[in-house]
Amino acid sequence: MRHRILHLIFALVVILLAPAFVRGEMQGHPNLAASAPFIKRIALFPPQIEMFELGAGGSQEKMDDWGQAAVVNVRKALATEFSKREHLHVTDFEPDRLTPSQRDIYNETLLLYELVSGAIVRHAFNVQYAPHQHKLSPFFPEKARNFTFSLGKELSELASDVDAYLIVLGFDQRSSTGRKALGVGRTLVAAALGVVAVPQGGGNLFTAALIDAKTGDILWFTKTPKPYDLREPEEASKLALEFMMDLPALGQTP
Amino acid sequence: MILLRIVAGILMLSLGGCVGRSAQLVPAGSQTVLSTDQLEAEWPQGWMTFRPAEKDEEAVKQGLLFMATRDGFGLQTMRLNKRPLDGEFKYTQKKLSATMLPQEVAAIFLDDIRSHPDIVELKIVENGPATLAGSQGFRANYTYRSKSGLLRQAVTYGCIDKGMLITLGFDAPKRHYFSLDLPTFEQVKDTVRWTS
Amino acid sequence: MRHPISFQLLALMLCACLVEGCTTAPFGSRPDITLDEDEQRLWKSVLEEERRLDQSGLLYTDPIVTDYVNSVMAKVFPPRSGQHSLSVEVKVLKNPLLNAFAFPNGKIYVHTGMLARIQSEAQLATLLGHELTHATHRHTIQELRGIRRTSAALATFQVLTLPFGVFGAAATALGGVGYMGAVTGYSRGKEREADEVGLDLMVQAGYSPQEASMLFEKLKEDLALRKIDEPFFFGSHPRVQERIDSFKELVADKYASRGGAVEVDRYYHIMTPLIVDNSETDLAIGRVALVRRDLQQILERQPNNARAHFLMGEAFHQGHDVGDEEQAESHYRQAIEADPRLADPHRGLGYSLLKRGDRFGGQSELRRYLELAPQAADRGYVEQALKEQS
Repeated sequence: MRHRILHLIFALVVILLAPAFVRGEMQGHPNLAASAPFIKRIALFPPQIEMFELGAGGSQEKMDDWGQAAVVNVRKALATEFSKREHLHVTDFEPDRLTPSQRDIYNETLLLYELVSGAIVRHAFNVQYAPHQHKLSPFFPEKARNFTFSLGKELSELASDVDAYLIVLGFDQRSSTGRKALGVGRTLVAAALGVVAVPQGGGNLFTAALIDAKTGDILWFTKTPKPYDLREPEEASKLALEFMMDLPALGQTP
Repeated sequence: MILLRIVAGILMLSLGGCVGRSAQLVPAGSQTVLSTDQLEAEWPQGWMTFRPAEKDEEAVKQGLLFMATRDGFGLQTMRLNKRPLDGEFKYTQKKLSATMLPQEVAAIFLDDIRSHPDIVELKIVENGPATLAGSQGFRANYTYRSKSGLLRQAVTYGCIDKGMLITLGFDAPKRHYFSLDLPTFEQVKDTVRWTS
Repeated sequence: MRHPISFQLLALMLCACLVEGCTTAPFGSRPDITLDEDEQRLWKSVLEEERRLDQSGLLYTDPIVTDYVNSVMAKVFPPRSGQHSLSVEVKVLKNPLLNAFAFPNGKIYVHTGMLARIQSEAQLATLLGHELTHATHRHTIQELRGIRRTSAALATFQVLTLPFGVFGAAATALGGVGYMGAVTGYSRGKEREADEVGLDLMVQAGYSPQEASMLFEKLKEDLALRKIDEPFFFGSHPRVQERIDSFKELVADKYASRGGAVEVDRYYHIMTPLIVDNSETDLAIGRVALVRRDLQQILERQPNNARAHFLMGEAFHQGHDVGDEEQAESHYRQAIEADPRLADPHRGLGYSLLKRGDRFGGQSELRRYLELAPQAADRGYVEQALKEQS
């Protein structure tokens, strides 16, 4: 009996504290383990984060000032987390200092990364739909087994003193007060009728990737759907911590 | 009576394959031969092949038989199409005829791409005679910028045979992916053949 | 009987109207531009759309054309000395559709397809005045506020401002604001206001108001030659005649006997290269009748325009009427006479001659084509044709 109670308490503690232990999903290149010790110099691309407000009428408005605040917070949070890793030298990548031809390569890199990250999210993680949903599973087992994506060796022309780049991408849809009220109303009505309803709170996804600066190979990729409000520095810190929990040890030559 | 209807409904659902084929997205095995509508081709191992649902109106209109990719359709796509000559192109109003020379067919094919509202900076790299499924046709190699501004490159083989326009196309971002997978595409092209 | 509640409601509504009036007064009626908070956000997202368009490769960058359209705009909306005013700029987009649209920050985009249809500087001034009014009278933010208030959601706007990238949804060159201006259009009342104020502007600039209604009549004629589902200037087909009628009424009411500048020759002198470029795009789409009509007008003014002759040849070559192939051959020859070093007409003439059995003539022209364009992408076909004919 005593053991059962202890098990129950333990289970409750785990359930209550679960968010603190939950990690995002990640994938790694077959060469990640071999490359990791040699990655000592990392440059952080300016985070690409867009935030939207969903209105009660269904409209969606991009909030540039929210996005800018998010970028500032995420940059600071990542810098803080990286500073705890002694073997790494981390800098901010500054696109404004690039030559025109380098700028073209950088812009093309971001455009290609949009496609690549979309493909990774869609195909390299095992998302299976229930038969009644009548949806094709987009999971590509071979890509999950052999996680090889690249942004091309053109990346090597951006800098000679960097071993890897970190790219953070995210979008976040937040409901306006009116829409939240509607959402709650819908949920209550649904509960009263005994129907399962998902409140329309908006969607979000944050991703991070480590890219080999010479080959352009994506060495490591992680994603999380947790609804961090990155306008808040504390939330950005939580996101950075979650990303870092998945990042393997780098720069430590055996 | 109600019970009969329910049973009929369940049967209808379970017999869905007989009523109309649903869309399929499956891994190609080693040298998988996929045939449909009198055409077949061999697809390489490690690639995913997509076959549209029988009732997919847009796919039927374009004559899409198969699509294949390894990393995701935005990163590389091969597609095999077969449609009647009197069918419509998506963007150009021009029509094909059975007596057209391969370069005339190629010109209309490229005009359709040129007329696509989201395609800019179309540049023809090469456009010349080639064979597909044993028939004289064309091979067009071109670059363009997509809606997002990404530079892409594509190669399409096409021919007119048995009153149909057959095309086998390959499209990928120019950076890294086009040159990576072009050799595989050329191998697939050599395997396209009529089954009857 | 007094109804205090009704009176209060009326007062509230009146206040709302006054407040609405204060916050969305047209720019230019005050010395400064003060944007409301939501309008500031709108302008920021518009900057993003502008940047995408500028980098998209869609801009038609011939400086002669862009300087010209901006000079016409400067006549319609002269810079106001001593006052802050909207910073207006006209940009041209490579697009054969009949369209033009304005961003709320004063950037106005006109399609090459629209410029190819216009036949005088006065008609251009009408168009620019209309679009400018959407910006000066802050129609975009008013429209968006109306959309947000109603529960019938603007699905179009929402769908088009898709979050970028991560799910593979590539960013659109034309975002939500541009789409609203270019495709869905504004409410009837705002379009009417743009017609009226725009007309006043072009007349004040010294242009003939009679040309204003002619613009719309010409555009209406053109619609018969186009696809029915094309988004265009009027917003929707049923509104075409309504707008033409309202314009005729405006001109009759205010400017019945007013004259002014028309400037047809200057317009064509500057726009000819654009019209020829646009014809090439229309030819790719297969709008052969449209192309023939446009190029005929060019050739009447510039009978030695080699490129126009070549494209006219292509337009006839794609025709199916008796005599079309002879017409094609004639235009190819005229193109060669006007510019013997232009390669494409030699290819066109070569294939034409081979088609009617003139092997020697055809081979000679195709060889000349390869001499003039040794790096031609379609070299393979020409070499194969020469091989088959030898």
